[in-house]
Amino acid sequence: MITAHIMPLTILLPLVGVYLILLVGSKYRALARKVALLVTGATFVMVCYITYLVSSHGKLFYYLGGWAPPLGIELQADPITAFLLLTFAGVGFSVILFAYDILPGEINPKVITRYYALYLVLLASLLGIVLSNDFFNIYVFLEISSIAAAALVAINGDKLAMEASIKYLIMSTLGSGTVLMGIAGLYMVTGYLNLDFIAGALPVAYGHYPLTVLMTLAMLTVGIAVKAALFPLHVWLPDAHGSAPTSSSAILSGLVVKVYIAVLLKLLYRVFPLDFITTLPLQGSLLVMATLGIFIGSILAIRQKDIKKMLAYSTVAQIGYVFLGIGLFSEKAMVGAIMHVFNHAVMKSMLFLSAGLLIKYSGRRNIADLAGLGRVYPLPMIAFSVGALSMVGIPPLSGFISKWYLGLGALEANQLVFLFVLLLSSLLNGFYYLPIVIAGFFQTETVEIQKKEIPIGAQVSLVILIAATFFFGLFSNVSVDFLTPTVQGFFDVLGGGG
Amino acid sequence: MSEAISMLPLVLVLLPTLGVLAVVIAARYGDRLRNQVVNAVTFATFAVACWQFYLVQQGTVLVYALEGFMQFGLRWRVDFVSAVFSVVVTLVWLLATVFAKEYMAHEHNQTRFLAFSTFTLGATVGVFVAGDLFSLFLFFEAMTFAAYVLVIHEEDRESMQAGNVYLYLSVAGGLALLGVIFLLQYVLGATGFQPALHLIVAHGINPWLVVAMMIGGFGVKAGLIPLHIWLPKAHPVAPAPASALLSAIMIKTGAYGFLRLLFMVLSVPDGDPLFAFQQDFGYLFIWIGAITMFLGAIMGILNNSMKKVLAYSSISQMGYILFALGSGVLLGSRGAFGFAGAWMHMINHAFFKSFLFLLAGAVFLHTGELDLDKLGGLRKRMPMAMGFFLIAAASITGIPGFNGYASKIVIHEAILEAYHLLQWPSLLWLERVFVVTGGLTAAYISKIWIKTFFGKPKQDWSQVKDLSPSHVRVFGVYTAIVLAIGVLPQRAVNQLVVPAASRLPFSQGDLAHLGHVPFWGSHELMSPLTSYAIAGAVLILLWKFGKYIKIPRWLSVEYLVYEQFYRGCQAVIRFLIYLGDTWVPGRVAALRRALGRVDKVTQETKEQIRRWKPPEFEPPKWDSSTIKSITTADLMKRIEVSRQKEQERVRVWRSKEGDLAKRIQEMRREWHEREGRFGDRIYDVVEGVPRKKDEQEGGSLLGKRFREVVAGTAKKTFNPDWNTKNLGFDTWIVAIVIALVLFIFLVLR
Repeated sequence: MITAHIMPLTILLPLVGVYLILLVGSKYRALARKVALLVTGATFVMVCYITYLVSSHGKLFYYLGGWAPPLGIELQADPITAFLLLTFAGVGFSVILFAYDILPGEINPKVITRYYALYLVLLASLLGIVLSNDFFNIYVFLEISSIAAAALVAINGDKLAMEASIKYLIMSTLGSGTVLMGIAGLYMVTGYLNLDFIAGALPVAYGHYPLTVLMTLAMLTVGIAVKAALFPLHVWLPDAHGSAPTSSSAILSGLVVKVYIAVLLKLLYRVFPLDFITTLPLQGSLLVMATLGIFIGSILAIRQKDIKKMLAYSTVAQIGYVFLGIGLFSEKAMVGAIMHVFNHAVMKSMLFLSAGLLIKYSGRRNIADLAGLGRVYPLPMIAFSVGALSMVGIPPLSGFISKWYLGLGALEANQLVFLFVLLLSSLLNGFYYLPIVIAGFFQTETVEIQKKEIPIGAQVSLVILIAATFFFGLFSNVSVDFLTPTVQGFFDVLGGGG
Repeated sequence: MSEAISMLPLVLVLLPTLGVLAVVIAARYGDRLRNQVVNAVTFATFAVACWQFYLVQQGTVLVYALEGFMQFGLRWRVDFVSAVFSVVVTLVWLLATVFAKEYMAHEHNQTRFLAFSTFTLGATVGVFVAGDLFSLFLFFEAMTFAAYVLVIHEEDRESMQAGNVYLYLSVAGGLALLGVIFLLQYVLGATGFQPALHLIVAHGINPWLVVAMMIGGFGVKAGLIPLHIWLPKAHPVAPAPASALLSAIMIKTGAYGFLRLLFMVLSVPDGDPLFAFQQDFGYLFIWIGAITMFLGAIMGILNNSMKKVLAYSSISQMGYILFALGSGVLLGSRGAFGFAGAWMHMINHAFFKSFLFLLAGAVFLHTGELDLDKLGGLRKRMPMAMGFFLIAAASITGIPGFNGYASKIVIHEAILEAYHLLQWPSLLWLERVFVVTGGLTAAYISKIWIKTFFGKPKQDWSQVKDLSPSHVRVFGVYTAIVLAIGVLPQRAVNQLVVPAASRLPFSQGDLAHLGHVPFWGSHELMSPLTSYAIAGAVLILLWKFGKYIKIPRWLSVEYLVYEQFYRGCQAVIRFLIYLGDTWVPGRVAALRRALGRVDKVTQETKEQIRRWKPPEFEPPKWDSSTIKSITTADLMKRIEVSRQKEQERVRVWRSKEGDLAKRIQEMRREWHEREGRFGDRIYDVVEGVPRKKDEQEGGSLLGKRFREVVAGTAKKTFNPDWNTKNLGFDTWIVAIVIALVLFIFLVLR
């Protein structure tokens, strides 16, 4: 019974967890985090099961309530979706594991229950966006995720975070509004909300209403770009991610920003035909904005003195990589982009979590003050180093694999210049990550630090993330072989090759 | 030549890599055990390398592949070149490790040093036995990062700075190498060492691009000018055993990479249409080699710290190797001597350079000094060191009977043959550069020898001891090797070089020629005399005029190229950020203010008009009796009076109106004067200052601000920390982008 309805249950379970937490957690605070841990763990198990089903049976379909589309709500899972689900559930679980003991020290204990509730809401909405196959559902979950994310930023109530959260909320709403207009436009010209039906009706609609269809595509792309922090619409990101509590930053940078890219992928590769998109100036705009984002994100990151803000600007740059992969419209580039979504989720969460630990135990946020911490707290510093080296693209870590595919994709698409963009930006990445690693291990401490015990949950989660970085670097064929058939399918069906 | 699958190369790499664990664990049980474990691991690696060489010498090529590793598989391929150099690497590493036991005995962080040294051994040997470029890259990067820890061992300011330059430059080089790998993978589908030049051209990629990236990638490691700037910083600050390894082995990985790529990937047969490319590549490398060897030697002469001179010497000797490589590539199938010279010098330099660095380390260990000006007169206290140094110096100078002589003769033959075959005048001049550099080499090495061991002692050396027995053993081994190759050079060539050369498509005539190199010909035996003549002249000049030679700080590649580039980038970035964060919002605000000013004048005017009241009018009061008794004259008088009053009122009103009009005119004039002129207003908006005021101050304010910003003295209004303020501005950006994208999509299709 459960297995038949696995897909909606994956979304429902965190939502049920929300209610449980709110019911139970107000009285017995300690239970809230246990419930959260259990729920996220169970969600991860369910997501693994979905992945198994997808790899053995192919695409999965589910009609809510038995109502068939186009009137019913449809949930779909294909290998790319399953891969993204694994990312979200896995990292979501790791962050909860980390926050198990760390959270009471970071935020006001009175709001911890609310925090976990919001976290599970966010997780549910992320899973929902990825699984849904009709735009209305996607939009609902999109809005939920925005609000939950903004709330997670401001949860602690300090001035800076509140300001950042308001900015995030307003700009996010701008993005959502634009997306809504796009969805409305699509509905108007095609009469459907389900992605597959829209894809079928679109050629006819384009014949009747070309301008509307184009406007729709433009609105959707820009709206998603705002929410996914593509340059120059990224301005909300550094403040929001820099001022949020550690676990929030980890999940925001790692997951929330990426889920909108998943929507964009669905849009560009399933709804709109590939040969149609390549006639538009979309590719050029995406590539230009992506490249600018990569360089400006890296350059601004080099100038930062606060470690969390630096990591936030680094996220801007990495999002640029993902958009680069999407914009190149070639097989290997898309594989690289999806791999980078996963790899970056793991790496950035690891970086934020270890940075959070370093900040917590040294009391300092400035990069210059983190000297010598590696000797006192080796595990967070090693985690940070692994994340940093992976970001720069040193084999055999996972970051190298995504860059490898992006580079080959650039060559496949006959755009040699983006290979150089990739290599040069990797060097820039080194400029702001390596000094921290060097200072952490090889410089003397500036202030006396006492060694305190790191909670076991935090240690385990960091080890899990380190292991994931190594595993998906050394055995990347697992993920690449999983993804490639679907990606090839996109390019074969639509226009005979990318 | 047959291929055989063997796990030996895998073992060769894994043994030291996993041996690190053994070292770290042994360290818990005491220093002695740890040192023994390190020695054991290094010796075992050497033994494996020897066994591997034995197998390869019989004609097999050992291959091994770990498929499924990172999706491309990790490949090992040990042919003759790899096997010989593995032996060299592991032998030098063993000798350095044995030396290190005593040298590091009083250092801090010994376990860290030994552990990373062992790991670096594994990575370095992996570079030489890698089967394709991707595996090479993997080991290359591992070697870079592991050696970093060795470079910054002392952890003082100088070491950290040297480490930074080393690391960033190496990472940049690694990325350039990655670019080459990308291109090869795209073109070939794999990154093995197979000829690829045709495919590269067929795909429309410029081969020079590949060569440029290759030079960037391997050139940093090889220390070719102008990518050498890390070498003179990093090699001196590392502890002596590490310096020996860095100079002797690690920079060879760069040369090895060039060797593989130039001779196996980018080479084509002589008659091939693309042969011109190969000739150009070769010629380029000869020039690069010549410049590197010459400038390296000059810098070696001009420096005064023993290790720094030796570091520049390494750069110079790498120049020899590249010079020879270039000759080999230039001549195509006739290039056997070039290849042989390069290869032989790689082997010889590994030995005598590590010999020299370890000797320098011994001197430092016993005297605590590396500065040549402070050393002197050590010959009485350290005679054995002096003797060994003499042997090593004879090697590097190329005195017959020592190993350096052999490779130098071969390289000389190579360039002479190139000139003989091609008759390009430049080649003759390059040969002369080669000879002069030989003299300069003799000069700087003699300078070290003389200044260290001769002359009056500058300090009290009475406590200084000579070399310890274990060090004497190490140096004895070096001497044996140096003499073995030196006394029987033909034998060494036949054993070590000819088998390697015969695998490559060189002409049979040249290969036979290699079997009969005129090592003991009268012309060849005279060459060290030429060298010493030049050296003598240089040293005398230096002695006489050395005090007057001050190298200006700005005369270095680092300052002229790197620092200017860095400053340029910083200036551009600062200026862009200034534009985005200060200038644009500032101008927007000024525009609003200017518009506000216009508005204000209008408002003021309207306010004036509103406030003006018409003059008071009092109607006259008439009662009934006055009306009855009024006469015509009276009436006329009253009418006159009222008319006058009317006129008075009109006059007053007119004057007030006139006042108002005058006031409006005044204000208008004011406004025109201050802001009426369109150009003025724009200037105000753009520059923020009224044009007249600015012209008084002279020069455009924007230009002044630009200079301030570039110099870094501009007021820092960009606070990189928190800018949650600009919400309105940022929202405008979103709106503008939406409009722009719509425009692009709907209009510009």
